[in-house]
Amino acid sequence: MKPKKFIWISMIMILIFLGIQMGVLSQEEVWFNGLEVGAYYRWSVSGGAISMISISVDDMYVEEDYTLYYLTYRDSSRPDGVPLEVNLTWEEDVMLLLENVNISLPNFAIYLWWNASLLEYAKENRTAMEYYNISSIEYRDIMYGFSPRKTIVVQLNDAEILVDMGTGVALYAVIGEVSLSLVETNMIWRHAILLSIILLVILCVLSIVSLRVGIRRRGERK
Amino acid sequence: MRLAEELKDPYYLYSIGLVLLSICVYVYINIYPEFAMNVSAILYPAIAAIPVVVYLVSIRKVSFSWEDKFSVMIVFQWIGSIIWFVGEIIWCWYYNLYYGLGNPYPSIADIFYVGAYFPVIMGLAIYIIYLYRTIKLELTRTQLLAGISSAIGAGVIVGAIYWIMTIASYAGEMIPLDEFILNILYVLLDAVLLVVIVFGFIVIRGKMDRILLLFLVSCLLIIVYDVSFAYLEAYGLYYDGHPVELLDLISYIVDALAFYEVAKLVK
Repeated sequence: MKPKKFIWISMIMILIFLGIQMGVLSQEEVWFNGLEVGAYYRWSVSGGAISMISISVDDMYVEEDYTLYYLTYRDSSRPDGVPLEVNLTWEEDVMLLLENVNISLPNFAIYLWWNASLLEYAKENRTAMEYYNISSIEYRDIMYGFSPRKTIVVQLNDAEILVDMGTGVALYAVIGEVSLSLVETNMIWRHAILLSIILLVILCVLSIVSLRVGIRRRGERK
Repeated sequence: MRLAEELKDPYYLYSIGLVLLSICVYVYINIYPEFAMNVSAILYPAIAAIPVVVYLVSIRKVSFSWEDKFSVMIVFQWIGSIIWFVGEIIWCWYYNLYYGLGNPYPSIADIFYVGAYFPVIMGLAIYIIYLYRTIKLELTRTQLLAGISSAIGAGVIVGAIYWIMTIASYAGEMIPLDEFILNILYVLLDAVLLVVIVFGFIVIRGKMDRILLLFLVSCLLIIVYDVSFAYLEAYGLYYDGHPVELLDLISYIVDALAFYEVAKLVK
């Protein structure tokens, strides 16, 4: 077969493949992606009895049909922190992570961590939305520092919560009289894409410089 | 002696520096796994951009002609690098950093990862077939038969292992159609690429041997990475920032070295 013919046939094959792919692409479930061991989140709170909440993920224990997460919860009234335990099973859908902890938390705190995958499902399913008392769900792109983030705005009867799609945590929320915002975390890097672009430019410039120096030196040796 | 001489070359030193930097970064993110996805997503596109940029320096001097099979290989490798770079941007910037999603499979990025195989395989095959035709008389019938059978054998064995690992990752569950097509394509393309690589190692000759060798090594690293990825996925051990990604990153650096050799050749 001539190379030209071979290339044309291959190109057509790629196009057919792309066509099939575009039609059937799907996403994996997100679950509570921000539940990485070592993850840390801190929210500032205003309008309530407490001014700060922080949660860190200390450990996890994986079994065949469930996973146990060990967290530490701190707020301004409990600065030393209290240990939390969350049991997530594969059998049931859990929308709010902190609804399933073993101790009672301030009412608004349960809205801090969502199952982003289940929220996406509920967006397309009116019954699911009603089941979780959600009045509306919308996607919204925001800038978190210099990083664009995909988020979901969840409206409840007396609350509006901006949920980060990647981690499932609330970035901003107004719940009744209380408003809160995520002020610190090691899971979302505010300047990640910018950092990547800067690194890309630096490495490319260094590549070109070392290439030119390498070629010049070779020329001198000859 | 030749190797020691090359190591004094600033570009080779720079490449070694990049490999060491990548290793240090991966050691760090495996000690602090909460940073793994973000850090690997920052590093990956930056490294993948290097072969694309390095070739740009000499693009005007390398003329492209269908008759000049060497130029066909170089240009096709470069097109492959561009497509892979776009795939990395989508995986890292869109899925990891914008969407916050780790290990998105299947995804739009896979279209580019798979798409890049076509120019890479075609470019190598065209040049290797040309080399084979040139040196045909030098090879005995036995050497030729042994070469072809070992190339095809390696492709079939690695393809079979890859396929078994991929199937094992579903643990008896139904495989969605899109993933099934993608899995077949990855296995098939890696197997074909390996056949081309092994045959390439047999016929490698001439002034441009180092450039071809570097491209072959880079492709070999990709195959080892793909099979390791499938193995880790099969046992649920893969995560963004896994040390096996170093193979993939090093393959970009080796590709860039090949383009550097091209730049030296045409200066």
